[in-house]
Amino acid sequence: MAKILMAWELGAGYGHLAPLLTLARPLKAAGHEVSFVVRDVVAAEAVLAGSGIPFYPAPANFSPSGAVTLHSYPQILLSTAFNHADEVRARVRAWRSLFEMLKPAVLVADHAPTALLAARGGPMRCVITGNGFVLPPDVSPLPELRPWAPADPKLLADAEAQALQQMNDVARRLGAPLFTRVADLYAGTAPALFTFPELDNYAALRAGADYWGVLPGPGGAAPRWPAGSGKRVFFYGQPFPSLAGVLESLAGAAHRTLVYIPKLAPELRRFAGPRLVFAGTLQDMAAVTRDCDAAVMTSGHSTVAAMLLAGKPVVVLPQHLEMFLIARGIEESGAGLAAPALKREGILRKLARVLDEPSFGEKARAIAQRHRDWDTASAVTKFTALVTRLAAER
Amino acid sequence: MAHVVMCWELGGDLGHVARMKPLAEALHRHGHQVSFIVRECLPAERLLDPENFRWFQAPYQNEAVPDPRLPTRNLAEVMHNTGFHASANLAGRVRAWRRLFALLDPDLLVFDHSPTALLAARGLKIPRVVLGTGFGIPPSVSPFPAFAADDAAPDLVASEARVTVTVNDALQSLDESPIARLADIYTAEANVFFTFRELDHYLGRDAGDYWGPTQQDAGVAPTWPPGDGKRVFAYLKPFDTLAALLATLRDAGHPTLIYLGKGAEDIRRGFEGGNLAFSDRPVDLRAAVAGADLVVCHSGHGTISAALLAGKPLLLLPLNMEQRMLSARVIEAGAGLAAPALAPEGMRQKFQRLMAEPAFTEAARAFAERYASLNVETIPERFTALAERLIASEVP
Repeated sequence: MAKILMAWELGAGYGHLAPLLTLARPLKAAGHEVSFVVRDVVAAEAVLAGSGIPFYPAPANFSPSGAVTLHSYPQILLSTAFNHADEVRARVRAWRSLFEMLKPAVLVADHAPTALLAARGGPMRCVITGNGFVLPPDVSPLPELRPWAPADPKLLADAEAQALQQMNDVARRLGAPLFTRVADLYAGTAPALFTFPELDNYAALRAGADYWGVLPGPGGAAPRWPAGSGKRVFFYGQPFPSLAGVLESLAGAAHRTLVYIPKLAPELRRFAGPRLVFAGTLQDMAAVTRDCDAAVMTSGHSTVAAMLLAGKPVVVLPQHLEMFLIARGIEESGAGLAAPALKREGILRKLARVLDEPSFGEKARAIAQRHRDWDTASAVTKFTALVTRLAAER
Repeated sequence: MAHVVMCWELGGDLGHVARMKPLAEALHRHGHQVSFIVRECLPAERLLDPENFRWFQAPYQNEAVPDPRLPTRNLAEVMHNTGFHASANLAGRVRAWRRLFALLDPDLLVFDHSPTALLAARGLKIPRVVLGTGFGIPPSVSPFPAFAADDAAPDLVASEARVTVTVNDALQSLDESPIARLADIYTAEANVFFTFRELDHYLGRDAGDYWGPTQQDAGVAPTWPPGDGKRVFAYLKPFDTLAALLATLRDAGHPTLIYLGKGAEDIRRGFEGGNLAFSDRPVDLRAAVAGADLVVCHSGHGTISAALLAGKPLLLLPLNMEQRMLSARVIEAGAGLAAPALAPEGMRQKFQRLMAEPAFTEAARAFAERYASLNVETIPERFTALAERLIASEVP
């Protein structure tokens, strides 16, 4: 049996850990020795507790570039993992230290560009996994991600050249094969693309790609909806400035709302009442999506996907690039609306439309219908087979 | 051959790795393997030879704590702000440290400013050395002393009690016995202070094994600007009133050699030439202070140690609490003056006093004479002997 290393380097929350754990469990059950390297050991402690899977901290960049409006995958690399050649090399060596101690046959990388850079030229087989946003297509130049407000193409070309230079600087110094373009970081790896075309911002650039579907979140408590009658709305995500006003309106609305906002300010709990209930822990999304009529969400590729797969429409409140792209996909599919201004009136008006106009539910049910044959178990089985085959090839 | 693991959990910049580097190199020369678990990888890349040493990422609190203690009044509050605010967070990081220890299977653990790593080492029966300047090794008292004398407010007791409860909740979830007070975290088979008693951030410590500073890496040889008279060496980072300080140094007319960290290129351009010379690269500290009559710095431990060992007085411009504590020690020794407000007039007046009054130089020379027999080059060998003795010993 083989040693498998699952790596998560960039991002936050449980959105990377929970799917990786879903994939890791059957590998472990099959006798493979699985370890995790994680962005956040505290989040890993919450998600992996009881799994018997050891985890180690991923090498972290303590001096990333300042916040700028990002327009392309190379710009994302330059602002997070690859912003300084010496610093990248410092972390590449730390990844290699882990590889040398853990001796994995297969590296499974979810949003882990530095881990892939460290693996370059080595004997490990690499699987890249994650949603569409973290797995760029095999093209050069990589595309503008904000076509509604594009940057100067020259800036994007410069960023791509600079990212390539950082990668090659490390490769040269460590004796690994050079790259000819940024997308080569993923060349020679086996992709396991966990999303649907409707939620993949790069769908047009990867014709014929194999979509593996969306893995369920970490699971959670059974939802406890407000009693009585009225449509049911699930409200999930991160706080935003007009949240108090939105909660106040929802508390007096005709429909019933279940709110799960992990970082909710305690004083906002005052809006709890007969029409609005706050959940204090992760919710069982299978039950939530079965019972609700619509959702309002600020974040979460997998939670949005869970809604669509259940045929339920959504209002998306995007606060960062990845969610803007998901929001665009939702609007294009007709299965919901985006409220990017995050204003109380707009959010409530769009929620009313999504609840009242039948077309949103119809479009959401059409998406569910298109993917009705997909199931988690077969995706996980396919993944286990892929990793087992790669481990055996080594 | 033994495996020594050196841990650095809190703080920033190069200082922690720089302190441990000569110790690791001596251990390596004696045939031992040394691995580092570091808060930031970049200092390891800058200072360590990757052919000889491996490094790993230390567990850290990823998200900002929701209720930071500001201003931060003592080490217990530093701990609160760096992930000792909630037992689940702390327990998660302790487990991650333990997995790293299990992976590396060390024969000796060395800790520099690493309270969570120390918690993780409890009950492992691996010998432990705690090292640092005074700041990273709190005195065995409860509550921990206030950083600044005027912060000695009674609620430090309550604040520390909350952190202690968090630690004990985490220890309970790990099936480890509780601590009576936070200082117990620092229990180790040896404590080594790489400083002088006079420069201990905490006054009046009962006992302390003071070894002096470890040797810092040499930089480029100092190239002094032409001119006669007293010379000034300045080792600085950019700060708001830097231009005013440079104007004072220029107007005084003494040959002055300056190393400025990154980010002050524009200001520097206005002062180049004449009696001021700027070095593009870090300057060999020992050589620079040897040739200087006054040293100007932000009260970093390395620069102060080098200056006092060479008998040179200091103008101190502390930028943070740790540096303010250290500047107070230098003032008590009579070997310098501090201008913590960084006000142009204050910096100028203190500079002029230091240049005019011989008492500061006399006090610095007295310090140098007290430590005339100290040979910092022998510290790494002495440390290796301590390490080998501990490795051979049984941990109860």
